[in-house]
Amino acid sequence: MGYILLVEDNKDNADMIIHILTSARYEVRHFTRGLPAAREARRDMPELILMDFNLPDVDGRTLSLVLAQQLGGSSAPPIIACTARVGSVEAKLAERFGCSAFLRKPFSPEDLLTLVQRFVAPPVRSD
Amino acid sequence: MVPKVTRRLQNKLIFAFVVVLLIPTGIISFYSLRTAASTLIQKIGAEELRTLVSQANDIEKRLIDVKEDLIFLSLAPPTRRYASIINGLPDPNDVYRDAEVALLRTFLDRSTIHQYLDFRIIDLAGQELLHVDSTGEILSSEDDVNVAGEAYFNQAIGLPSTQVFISDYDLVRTEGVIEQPYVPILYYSVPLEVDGANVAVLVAKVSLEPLFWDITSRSAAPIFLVNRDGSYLINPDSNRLYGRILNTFVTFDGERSREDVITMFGSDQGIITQSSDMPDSLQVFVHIRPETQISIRWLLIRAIPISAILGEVNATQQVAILLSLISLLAAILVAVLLTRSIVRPIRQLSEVADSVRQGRWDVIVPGTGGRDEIGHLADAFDGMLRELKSVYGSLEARVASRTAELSSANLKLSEANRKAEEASRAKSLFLSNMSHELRTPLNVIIGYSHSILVMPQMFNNVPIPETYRPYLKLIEDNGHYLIGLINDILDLSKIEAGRLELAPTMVDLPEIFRGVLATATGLLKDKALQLRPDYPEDLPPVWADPMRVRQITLNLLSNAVKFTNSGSITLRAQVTDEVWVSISVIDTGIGIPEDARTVIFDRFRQISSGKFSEIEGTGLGLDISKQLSQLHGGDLTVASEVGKGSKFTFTLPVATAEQRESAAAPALLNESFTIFERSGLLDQEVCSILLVEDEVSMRELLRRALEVAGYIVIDTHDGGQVMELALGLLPNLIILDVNLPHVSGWDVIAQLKGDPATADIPVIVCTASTDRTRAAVLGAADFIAKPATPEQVIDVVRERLLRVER
Repeated sequence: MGYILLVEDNKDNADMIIHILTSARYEVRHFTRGLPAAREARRDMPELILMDFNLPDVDGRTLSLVLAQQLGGSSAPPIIACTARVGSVEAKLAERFGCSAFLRKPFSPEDLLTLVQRFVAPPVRSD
Repeated sequence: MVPKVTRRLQNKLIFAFVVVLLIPTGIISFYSLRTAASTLIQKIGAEELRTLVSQANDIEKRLIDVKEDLIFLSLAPPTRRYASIINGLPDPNDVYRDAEVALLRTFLDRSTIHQYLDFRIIDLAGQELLHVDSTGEILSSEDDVNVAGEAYFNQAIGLPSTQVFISDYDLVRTEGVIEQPYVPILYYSVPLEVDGANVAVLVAKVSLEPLFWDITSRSAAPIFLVNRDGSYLINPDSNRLYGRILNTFVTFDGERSREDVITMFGSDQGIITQSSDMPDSLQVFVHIRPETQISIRWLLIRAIPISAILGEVNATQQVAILLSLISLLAAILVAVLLTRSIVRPIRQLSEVADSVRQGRWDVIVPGTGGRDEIGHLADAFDGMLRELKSVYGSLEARVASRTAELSSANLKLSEANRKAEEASRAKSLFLSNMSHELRTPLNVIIGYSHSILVMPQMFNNVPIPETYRPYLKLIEDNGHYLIGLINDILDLSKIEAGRLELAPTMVDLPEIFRGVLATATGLLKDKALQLRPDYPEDLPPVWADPMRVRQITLNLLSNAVKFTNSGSITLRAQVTDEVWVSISVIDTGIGIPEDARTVIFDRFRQISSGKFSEIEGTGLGLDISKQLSQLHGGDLTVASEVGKGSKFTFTLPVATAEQRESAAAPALLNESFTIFERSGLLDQEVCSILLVEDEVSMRELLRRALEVAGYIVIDTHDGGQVMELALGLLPNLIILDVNLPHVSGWDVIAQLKGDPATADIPVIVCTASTDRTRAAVLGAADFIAKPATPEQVIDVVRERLLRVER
């Protein structure tokens, strides 16, 4: 069972996303910085990357493209750009930089789950 | 351009001088010449008159001489004795007769003076007794010749002795026929007395030719002698002579005007006259009357041509003209000199003024210091010039200072402008960042409030107390409201900055409408309103930014919900004019008064009366919607009736065939997320490059150039980050400027090469230092000496990456 790589620098947001996703039984590995996250992704390929574009150590857009390339190009795990910059142009750019979806903040828990479930099937309840 | 200075003033002055001089000269000359002429005429006339009078006296004297000759002859003893013979005294052997003939012959010999043509002695019966002609021959008496009818006989026969009768003029005749050439004559006759009684008459025929010759020869001017009957005795025109005798009727009184006749015949004294009959001549005339009681009464006229008289005057006139000319020349000379002395300084002044006008201030004003008016003018001009110069100088200084002020003001202005632009940019950036900053915590607020309400599984299915539910809902709703406000403000700031960009694509309107209607249904809450979709499902796709279409539609719908309490809200869409789709939101709400319809699109305006004030909102929505419609090429309009409802309509362009082809598959859209079809872009391998360069402009330049060349570029100025970035990104290549602040580039290379994760990444050293060997030793793949163009760098990069691939 793969995991979801979450790159989000805002701790409260990260906590909420982890809360939502783990409540849906996804495994989440969280990084507040992009570069360690990239190393982790290369070390252990995630099933989905959920990444804030606004990162403290590296430009999220560039990172997503580099990762998409390094993780197999078109066969790389989907990357969901998650940002508070919500303009249409931002969305277009995300598409150009190798993302599979664009998630606008604020989003509702249902929206997040709907979107994630489009790429990664929800894990079956083991208990 | 300096106007050509014609010497008009000088010419005028000279002309004036000449005129002023010529007029008096002319007047004086004319007057003096007139006076001279008339004086001369009078003088000459008087002289002529004197001459003529003396001539007349001579003539008279000569005529009287003849008379005295005859008196002498009549008293001479031979004549007396011959008379006695007539009276009966015997004359044996004609002794007395011969004595008498001898006497008469002596007079005939004297005919050089008085040309006696013949003498006759005639008895009382008129018979010729003795006839001695000019040759001295005694002509035989002819019996048939009787002169009793002749005036010279019958007038003389009655006269006392020593009284002489002088006949009127006659011409020489032979036996009664006038001889030619005509010889004018006079008959002198005197009675011969014996013992107190007249017994015979002595008649002398005297030629007037010598006298007339003498008269004409003594006069150069035409001279006329007129008999008392008007006949000309002397006339330059010989055809006019002897009019009475020759019956030619050419007479003085027939030829001349009445005035002339009266003047000349009527006056006793000689007179000088200028008559209209002979306008070119001055006429002088005198009467000749040797004996008052007898028949001779002549008028002697001399006509002196005026031209002859005025010849002298003309000479004077020529001298006068010559003198006038000389004085004229002198006047012109004086005028030229004088005017030059006036005009030249003025012209020089005007030339100076011209120079000054052309901006040459360094001229010297000529003629200053003169004591006359021109000198004063020059002085005044010089003063004025100095004044002007100083004023001009200060003016220039003032202009310079004003220019400086202006340019500094301009500088300040452009600085202020730059600052304003900067501020505007800063504002936009601030708003953008702020909205992002606001969104992030709101995400937590909304997310959790919603999760608590609807996702109990997140909280181990622990139910929340129902008391909290509405308040949590309030938190969530207000969170959404805040997001709306933030969105509006962000949009508006972008619109103001002209930076609102659309991401148009093919948009399936019914799909958007479904989402929007769902959201709007949520807005209805407990309002008894019907939401009515009214559009065909097969609406053609429009070319628009789906987010924005959603935004406009939702804005109109939420407005309609706000202002409508009952009835329905219809969302209608239809194709108009084939290339447009018009989308209307029609409500049955309170409507908008006419005067408010234009205001509703104004920023921050909400109709502030009555019920409206209860309704919350930023008032930005309609403005933004209108702007967004216009950005799409359409517009947003409103039609409304108070109390019945409103209809807001916006238009979007139908996607053209080209647009349909170019567009990717329609993006899947949700209010919160967009899912992309992953493009083939990722199939091509794109190399990433880590660019380490501390100089900003160089870094920007290289980054852009490399991106354009198709590489992914991560750049940094911080040498300390290189290792972390390299490890995190594992770029295909690193471009490194070794002259970095704080950290040595050489150390960075060593570090990179020391870590097995990054040791294989080729490093291109790019530096102004020439230490190529050191770079090679440290393991740098390539070395680029600065300065290098981006093209050179790209070439090296491309070459290196190709080699790595192999």
